[in-house]
Amino acid sequence: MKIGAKLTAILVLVAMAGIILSALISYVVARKGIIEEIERHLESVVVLKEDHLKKYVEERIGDLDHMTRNKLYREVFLGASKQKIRGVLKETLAHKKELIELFTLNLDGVVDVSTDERQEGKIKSYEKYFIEGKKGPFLQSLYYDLSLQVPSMTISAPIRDEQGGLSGLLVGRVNLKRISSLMTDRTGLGKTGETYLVNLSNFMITESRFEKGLALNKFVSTEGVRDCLKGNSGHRMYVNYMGTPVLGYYEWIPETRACLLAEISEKEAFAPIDRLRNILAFVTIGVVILVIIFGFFFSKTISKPLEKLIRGIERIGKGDLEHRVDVRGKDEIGKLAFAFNHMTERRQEADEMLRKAHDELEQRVEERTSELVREIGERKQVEAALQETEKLYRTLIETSPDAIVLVDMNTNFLMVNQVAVRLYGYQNEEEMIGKTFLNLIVPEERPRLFEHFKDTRQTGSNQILEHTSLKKDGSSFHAAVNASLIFDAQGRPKGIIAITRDMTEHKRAEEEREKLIHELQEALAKVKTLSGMLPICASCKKIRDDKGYWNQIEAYIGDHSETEFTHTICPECMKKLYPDFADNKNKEVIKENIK
Amino acid sequence: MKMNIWVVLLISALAILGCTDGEKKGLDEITVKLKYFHQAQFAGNYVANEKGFYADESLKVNLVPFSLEEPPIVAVLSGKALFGITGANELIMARAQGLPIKSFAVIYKTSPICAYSLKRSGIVRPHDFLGKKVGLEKAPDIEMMYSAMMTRLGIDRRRMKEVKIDFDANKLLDGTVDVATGYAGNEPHQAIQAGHEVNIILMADYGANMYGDVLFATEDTINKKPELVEHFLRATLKGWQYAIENQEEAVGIILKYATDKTKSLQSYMLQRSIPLIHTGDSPVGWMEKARWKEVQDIMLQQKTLNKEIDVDKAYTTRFLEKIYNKS
Repeated sequence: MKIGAKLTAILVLVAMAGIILSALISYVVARKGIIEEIERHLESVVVLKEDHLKKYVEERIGDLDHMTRNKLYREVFLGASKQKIRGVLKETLAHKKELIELFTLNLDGVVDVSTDERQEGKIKSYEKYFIEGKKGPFLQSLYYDLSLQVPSMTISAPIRDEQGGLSGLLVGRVNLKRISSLMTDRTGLGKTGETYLVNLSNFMITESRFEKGLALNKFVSTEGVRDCLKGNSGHRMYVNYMGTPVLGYYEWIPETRACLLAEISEKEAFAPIDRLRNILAFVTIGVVILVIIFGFFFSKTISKPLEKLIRGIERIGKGDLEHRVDVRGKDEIGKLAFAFNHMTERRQEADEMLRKAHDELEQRVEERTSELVREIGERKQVEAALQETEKLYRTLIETSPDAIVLVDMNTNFLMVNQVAVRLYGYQNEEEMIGKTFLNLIVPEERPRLFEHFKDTRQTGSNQILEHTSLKKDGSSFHAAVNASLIFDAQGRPKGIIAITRDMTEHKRAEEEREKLIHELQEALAKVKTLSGMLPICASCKKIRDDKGYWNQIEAYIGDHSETEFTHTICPECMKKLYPDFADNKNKEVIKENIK
Repeated sequence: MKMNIWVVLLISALAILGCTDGEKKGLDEITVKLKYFHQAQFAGNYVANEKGFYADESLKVNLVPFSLEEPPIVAVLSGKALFGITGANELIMARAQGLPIKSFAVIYKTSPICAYSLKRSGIVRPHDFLGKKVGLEKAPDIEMMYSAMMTRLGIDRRRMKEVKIDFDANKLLDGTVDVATGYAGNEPHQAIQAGHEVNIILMADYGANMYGDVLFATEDTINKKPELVEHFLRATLKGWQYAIENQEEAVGIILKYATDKTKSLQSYMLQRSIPLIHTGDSPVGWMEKARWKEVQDIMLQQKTLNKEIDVDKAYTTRFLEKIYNKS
């Protein structure tokens, strides 16, 4: 949401909140005040009416009481004839408009004399006014008199004789119209207000202001009446017998055993409140509108320069560093614009510098890159050559029939070739590498070898050393080692490379040679004996040896050479000696025999 | 499959809706047996029916008029009717016989039984009957009340001529009798219709007062279905209150039911009845023990009842108390 709108909204909301709050509060307070005012008014009306009513009732009771106490009246009641009594009663009635009938009851409750002759003879012994009236003046509050067929309020008073004994009752019926008009006249309750009475049986006793014929017909059981009939007084808002929502005040009047209610319709009562509410609503709306308009314009003074600033920033952001935001003014936005412009300038300068540096860097990078490319090419070549060399060496080492090892400056194997592994009887290189070469020397010769090692290490001397080697399985063999110091790239001694040859074969070969020479010498000795002058007998052909003894020829040759004689017969002798066997057929047999 | 379930539900719903009115709204259907033929005497019931007060209490009420074959007490005891309207004296009599019925409201707090004469006769009170021809209707309660009244007043009945008459004003009109007995709302009207002015002598004015029509049910109903009793009573009382406040409208409603559709009769009857029902000193329907005792006292005095009954058990005010919030 745009700032302009936000600002407007905030302003409006705050203002609205304030206005509405104060409107509400004043409405609530005023309403309460008005209601209280009305309640007080209603109460005063009720009090006034109650006063009138009580007074009225008291007066009527007083009327009767007075009559029964009055000497003259009493005389009449006690002594005179029915006609006389009737006359007196009628006359009294003529003067007392508040009464509509006067009659006397005898002690059985029968109407003795009445201003309405029709009533004479009727039995009223059931009536409360008879039962209670015997004790003292009694008001029977409003009920429906079936004789008269009208609502009636009856007052009774005892008639006592001189001795004070009860001789009868004087009863008067009160003109209810008067009571009704008491209630309905001049209530001061405006157009919709009224007062009325309701009796214990929930019947409206007095006439309604608004509908005729309700007196004693209307069953009223509204909230107000219900509460009042419990004996309570108070005010309340409820729906009345007409179905109108009213504000009412009610009071229970024990003297008449009825409820007095004063009601005014809520609508009329609250009219001033409604007016107030409407005024407040109007004012609130008006002010809110003003606030919105004002807020709108006011917020523009902030949002407009802000927008300008934003647009300027955007433009700069897009790259137009030449642009400057045209917002002046001493407020924060103006300062912001100024600062931003300044920042843009600095940015421009920095940009320039950056560009320069960037260009420079690029160049350097280019140069360096081509260098590197070249170096890499060279290195690759070197590497290739190196690899070739390494391969060559490796092949050399592995194809050599000798054991070739490399040990470090601490006598430990760094490298051993396969011949070495096999020669010393190990499984693989790993078994040997890292361990000292002295393990492969028989213990008695280790010091000597170690000395030689140190020597070589020190001086780089290069000598062949024969020694006895030790295999893994513990067997030993004769070996000859040729060690040489090797150096690293920096020319520091790195290790010693040693080539060891199994001399066992060599030794054996030597020993065999010796033996062979010896044999040869022996043979030669034998052979020499046969060379030179050999004295031989011309007749028997015996030979004289170097000891002077004459040996048979075969003996002498046999001793002095490797020759062995197989004696056979030559053909000539054969003929001579064995003429039988001279022919070829028996050559084989002869050969066989002779062998 | 899913479709099928919806179809079944729909059909069931329609079936339920298609049921009779009473079942549709969930109303309890009950029968009330009236004490007499349809007339303004039962205005409250008619109004309650027509203005929907019974329906408001979830009741559908059949108002059945009196029949010789099945008087109200018999109808209620046999279960043909749930409630009935009968005279307070009849109820006491039934209870004396051990029948388990009980009253829960009184309609006529004052008996309508009266004597009436033509104005020109000048007979305005029972004392005036002396030496005159008195027409007595053949109703037992009229005879009982008449006797009670005369006893109370101490008038010697031998000093007048008593003639049995029918339930109409004919004998008065033709002069056979000087004064006739009847019911305040009924017979006198005939004389008025004939153009005469009438003196009404309410026997209640002269010491013979007792409750008239009362509403009753079996003790079983009262104990086991109190809600029904309460609903019925509330609506009926409301009906009477409405009739009291709107007599014109009530007359129109009565005419829908009345056997005798003479408007002036029904209007007259209602007018005369209301003061007997609505006496202003207690709510409509309210009962008091003293008044029930009075009924019994008269019955005992007149020998229509031989043995006292426990009057407390003959009626209950519990429904009245609840309805009028007086409990």
